[in-house]
Amino acid sequence: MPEKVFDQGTQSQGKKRKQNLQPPQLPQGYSQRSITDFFGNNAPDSDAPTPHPSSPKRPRKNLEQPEHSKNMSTPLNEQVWRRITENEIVDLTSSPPGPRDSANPSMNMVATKPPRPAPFQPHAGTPRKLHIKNLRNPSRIDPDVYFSRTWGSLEAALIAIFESRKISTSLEELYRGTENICRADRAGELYARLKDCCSSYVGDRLKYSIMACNSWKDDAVKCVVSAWEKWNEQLGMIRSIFLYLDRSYLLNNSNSSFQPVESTGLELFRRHIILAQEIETKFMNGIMTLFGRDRQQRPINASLLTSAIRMVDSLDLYTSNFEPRFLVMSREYYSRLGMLGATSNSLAEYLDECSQQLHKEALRCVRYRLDPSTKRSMGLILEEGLLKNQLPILTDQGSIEELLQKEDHKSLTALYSLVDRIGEPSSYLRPAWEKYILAVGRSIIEDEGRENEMVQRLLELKCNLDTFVRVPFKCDDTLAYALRESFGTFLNARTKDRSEMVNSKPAEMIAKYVDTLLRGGASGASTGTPGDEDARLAHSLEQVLDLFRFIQGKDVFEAFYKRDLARRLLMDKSASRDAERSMLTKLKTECGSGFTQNLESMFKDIEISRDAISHFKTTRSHTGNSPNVDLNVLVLSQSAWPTYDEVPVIIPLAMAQYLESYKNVYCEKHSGRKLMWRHALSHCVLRASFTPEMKKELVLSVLQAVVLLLFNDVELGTCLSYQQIKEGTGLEDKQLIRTLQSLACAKHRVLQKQTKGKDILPTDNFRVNRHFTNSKFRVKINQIQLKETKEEKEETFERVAQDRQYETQAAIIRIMKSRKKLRHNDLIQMTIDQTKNRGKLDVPEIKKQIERLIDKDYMERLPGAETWYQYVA
Amino acid sequence: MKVKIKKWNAVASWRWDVPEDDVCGICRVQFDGTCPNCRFPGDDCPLLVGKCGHSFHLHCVNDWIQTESSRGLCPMCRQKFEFVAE
Repeated sequence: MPEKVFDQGTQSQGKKRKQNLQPPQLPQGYSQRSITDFFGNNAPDSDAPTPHPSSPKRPRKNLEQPEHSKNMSTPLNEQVWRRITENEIVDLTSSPPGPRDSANPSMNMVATKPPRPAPFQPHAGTPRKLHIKNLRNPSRIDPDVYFSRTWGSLEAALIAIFESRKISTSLEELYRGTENICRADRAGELYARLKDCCSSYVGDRLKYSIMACNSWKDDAVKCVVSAWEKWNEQLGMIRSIFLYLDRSYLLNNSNSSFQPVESTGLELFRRHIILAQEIETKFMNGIMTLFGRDRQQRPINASLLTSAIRMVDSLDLYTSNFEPRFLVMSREYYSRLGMLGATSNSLAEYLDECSQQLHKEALRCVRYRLDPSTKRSMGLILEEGLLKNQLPILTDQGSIEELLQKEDHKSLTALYSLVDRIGEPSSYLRPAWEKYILAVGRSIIEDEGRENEMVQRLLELKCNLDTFVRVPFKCDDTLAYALRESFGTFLNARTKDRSEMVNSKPAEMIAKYVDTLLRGGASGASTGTPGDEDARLAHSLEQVLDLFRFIQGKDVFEAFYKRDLARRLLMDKSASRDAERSMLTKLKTECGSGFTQNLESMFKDIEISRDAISHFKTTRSHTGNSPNVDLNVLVLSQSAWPTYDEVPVIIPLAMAQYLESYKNVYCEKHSGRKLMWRHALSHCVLRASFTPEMKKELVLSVLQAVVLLLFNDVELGTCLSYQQIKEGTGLEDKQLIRTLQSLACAKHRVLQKQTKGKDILPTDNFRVNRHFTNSKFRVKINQIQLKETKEEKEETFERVAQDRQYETQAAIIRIMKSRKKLRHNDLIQMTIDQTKNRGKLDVPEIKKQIERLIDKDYMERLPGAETWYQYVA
Repeated sequence: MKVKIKKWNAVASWRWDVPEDDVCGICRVQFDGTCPNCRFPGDDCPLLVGKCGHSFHLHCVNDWIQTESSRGLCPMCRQKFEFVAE
């Protein structure tokens, strides 16, 4: 006889639930087992009907230790209750109405506690006896009959669902039926039947309905997806009806053949529909076609594709069936696209296409909810198909150069970022980049027709190239380095005609450009730069200095710069003294103080001369016999300035005396010095009256002035012959011809030559040009002085070459003196290091100088296999 | 036509008033050049003209005068070395 002990709470709870649920019928024999199952499965509570009277599982403890429960002490009660829960719970109070009214008396359960004295019960209260009676009669319906009846209605419901009809039985009834069957421990059977039923539906009707679909031929995806959606809907319903089966039996079943209703449904769909050969191929191909159409930008039903992908995903076919196919198909598509695009389009178009495809494909992956891993693989496929396979075309030097030429920043940016995806971009781009720089640079340098614009063009090129590095190449270090290197290479490239020296043209042109800047001649050179004139000038100088840094033949630059500076200082042509100073400072920081020492002392000479002349003007010799001429004298220290040839010229007597007085004053002040006039460098201002009304001030070189002064002594309109002029001035032919040319054949013709033609012949006669006109009062005719003659240029080059030899020898001797003994290679290296600030030397040149020093006995070779040198004191 | 000189910007260069190619008796370098320790000729490395008529680089003769054995004599003529004040 089953005896149960409950505390009051549990009992009342049981009653309450009982009232809530009233199962219509319950055949005998179901309840007990199902409850047990329930608790075996850890179901939260039970409202099972009458337990079987002869339940084999009884709470043994209760029988063995009834005295515990009798006493009802709290700890004991708890203990007992726990045991009961562990084993089984029997609700003894509920009893369904109706057929169970004729209760079987044997079902009555009484929890009897025979009062048995406990050995020691300090808190024991009054012993109590609890009787529980089962007032409900068990159903007498046969379980099998019940099962088949219920299944019948369930099956009918299922068919109704499948046929989308209304279900005749009430849903609650169906649910209850399921529940009861489950409780009667026939869940497995129920599941098997359910599965069979669904399986036959899916495998047969649903499948054929798909294939019978109108659009099956064209649009398999749509058919499958709509069938899927329908099946999902139906499955939802089925699941609701069989919820109890799901929850109580299937969900916790570890046996893999018992899946929850939903997964079973999915599995059936998967097996019968998707994996069916005839459907699967068509369906997958359909998806691929949709993707293909999307890629070709033809309209597709995007939501259909999205649902198809989602379906594939929920059917767990994504990685097994969909992804591999998708990737294969994509790979084919993109390698074909790459092949076609790369060969038929220009690089710029292809780059654009690639970037777009990459972008679109990424978007596509997001839009159709493809897996991140697919997205990654797609990235690789695109890179391979579009970029890696087409690498020769992508990095084709010609095409890249074309882009650079067109300054196509957009395409270059695309190119850089695309190549960045498949490796180190600089390694692919560098050859083309360098080649381009060299080609453009060379073309600028060797363009003799536009020699004068060379620096300007180089500056533009540098600016452009810098922009390339900064914008499309994202400040790539390697490319920036390549830029510097290539720039240096073409700037210092050897030319054929001057093979013993590196090409010094750029150095020369840079010096000339700086000269123009400092004379204020090219203030518009850097238009677009903000700021006042000074700031613009400073900016331009900074830019030029940037070029200057690449130049290896810095001595060439220095020579020309010095010549130009001298001219600026002597003719007072400097636009701004501050600018001159700042340029000097820049050169000093760039090349060291040795480089600028001479230039600085030139400035110093000018300052000293200024003091000297103001001193002279206070002396007696000045105030005594001043011929009313504003005299200014610049005294140069010979070594710092460029060398000038002495030009013999006859100065008018008064002027010569005046100069002599200055000379005396100067030599008085600086004893031990000798002054020599450099008339070729002097200039003066003459007031000339061509007619009484026409008075002009002429700015002339002293040589020109001397010629003009001769005409003071003759009547207006009288000619002087070439010979007469030559005698009067004492000039040599070369200088005289040049001077006369500037006066009679140039822009401002002060003199008239009687024969036509540009060339001066010794037989020519000259007279003053009475018709000389000029809008300005002050006319500058001494431009000729500012111009550099070809001989001067050659001479400068020669001097540079010579200086270089001396520099080299001096460096070698300095090194040998400090080291005494040195190996050949070390000596060469150290010499190059020492002289690199002034200009880079060639090894053969150094060798030549070493030979010379050995000849002069400054050093000697030591015998031995390796070449050692020793310094000879 | 009459022309009149209004302004005259003359340029002159100076060198030491010694015979060309003459060398310093101490360092045997031209007077126009520098003493061995200098790099830039001119004011940076001036000459010193002695009353005895011998000239030297200032740096050269200075070094000489400062040695004990010189006893303040001109290295060329062994007279007392006095220079001509500028």
